[in-house]
Amino acid sequence: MTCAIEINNLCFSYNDFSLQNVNLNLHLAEQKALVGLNGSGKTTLFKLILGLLEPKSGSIHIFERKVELENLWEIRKEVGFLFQSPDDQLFAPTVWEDVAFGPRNLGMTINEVEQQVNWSLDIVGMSDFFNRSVNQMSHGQAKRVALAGIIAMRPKILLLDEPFAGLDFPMVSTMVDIIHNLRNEGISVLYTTHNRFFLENWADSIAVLHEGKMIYDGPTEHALEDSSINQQTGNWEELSLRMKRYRGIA
Amino acid sequence: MGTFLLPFIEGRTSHGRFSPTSIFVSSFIVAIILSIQTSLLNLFGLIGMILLVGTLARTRWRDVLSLAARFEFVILFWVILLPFFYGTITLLTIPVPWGQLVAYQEGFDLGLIIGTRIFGIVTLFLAALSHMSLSEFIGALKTLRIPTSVLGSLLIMLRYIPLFLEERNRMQEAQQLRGFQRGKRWEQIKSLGYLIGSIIDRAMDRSVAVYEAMTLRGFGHGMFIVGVGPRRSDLLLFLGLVILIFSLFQQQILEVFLG
Repeated sequence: MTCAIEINNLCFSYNDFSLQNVNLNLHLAEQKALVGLNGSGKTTLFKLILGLLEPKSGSIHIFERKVELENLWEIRKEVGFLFQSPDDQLFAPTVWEDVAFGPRNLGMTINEVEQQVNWSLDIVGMSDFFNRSVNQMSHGQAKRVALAGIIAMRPKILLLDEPFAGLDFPMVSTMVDIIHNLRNEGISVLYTTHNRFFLENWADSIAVLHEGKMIYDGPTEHALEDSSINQQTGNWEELSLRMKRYRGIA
Repeated sequence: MGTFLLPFIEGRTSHGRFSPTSIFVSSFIVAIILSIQTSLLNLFGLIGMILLVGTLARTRWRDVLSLAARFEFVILFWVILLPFFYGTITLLTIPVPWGQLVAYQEGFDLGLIIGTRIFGIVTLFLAALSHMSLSEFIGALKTLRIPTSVLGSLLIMLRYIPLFLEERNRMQEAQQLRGFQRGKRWEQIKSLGYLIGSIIDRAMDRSVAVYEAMTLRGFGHGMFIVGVGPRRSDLLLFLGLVILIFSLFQQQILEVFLG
């Protein structure tokens, strides 16, 4: 099977943190969850994939093209990255201008930019907000606009850093639909989450990072049965029991 | 989330009669005229004209004047301090423990003129900006050949200063919720030090994240900021300016052309 992302023996170190011999495969149209405790290296791995950080050794290939300085822009056209906080991403005066930023940089004509922006705002359900200032939106709305800014560039891979963090239920539900529709168009998705619900119900496969090492990369069902992996994803049943005990109902 | 610091119109376009570039250039010309006036009467006349034209153009004076009022310290600085440093005719003598402070008439007059000039120019620019959106303002600067790198930085600055101010407010609230009292001066200074330190630290982190986000979407590969062209109605604006300049400098112009 062709790999959208192929990582081989990747090593990286910064101060006292390091990623050691990380291997990971993301297949075409696959939806993979990247899990791990805080500080396990998930965001660092994303940044390495995008060429924002340089690995010490090992290699990363995006559609068989190696991530290196010479072809970073070509790589970044293929991979869209949604930051955890939309405040880090939105910077233009209006929603329209922000979403148009990527298409303009791709060298599209004015008509194409217009078309792309309208399409992506429509997909995330923010068409009515096109003239709104990016300062005047709720967290959920800002997150949807940030996603529109990414998909307006028509990437083939989406890297989503905690896409559901801080969203209320209706917004989570909308986000799930948006990403599902994108996936139907053949986009591969790699997302991080701490929420077991999104592992059990939404991931085709799971990759688990622990203290800079990839301890698992495989089907979701196997991962959730493995107790050592459960420690990384969280033992929610045990926590649930403990909470009930505190409340005196178990 | 907060809004932009300056009184821009929200949205992409203002749908104004004149192009933002012409509004900006006209304001610049009027600002130059204001800055070379040496008579208070002329200055008040020009400020009156700005207020009149602005009112006809439905300027949001409440927003504009409340922002202009923030410059009161700069204006008062000139009006209050200059009399003590410049002039010969004594206006006022104030006895102090180490002798006496003398304020001079010429310094007071000059301070008043400089203060009025500053007020006029600030009000003028804020009023002009209130008739365009931020995108149009940046587009106008682009048309005036200001480098894209400068415009990019300006755009980010205008976006993020309100965010940092909000962050500062949140941190101050958090301090108060944890029992911080604005009591002793030393405690205030110490708390301000912590606050500024953390805000700078966060600002650095955020600027890195923003730069990364922009790079990932191809910053530097295309033309993000698009210039805005002139409109036919701009001729009216410039005609008005020519009339203003002629009426103010009638004598000098006639002397040059008729000898």
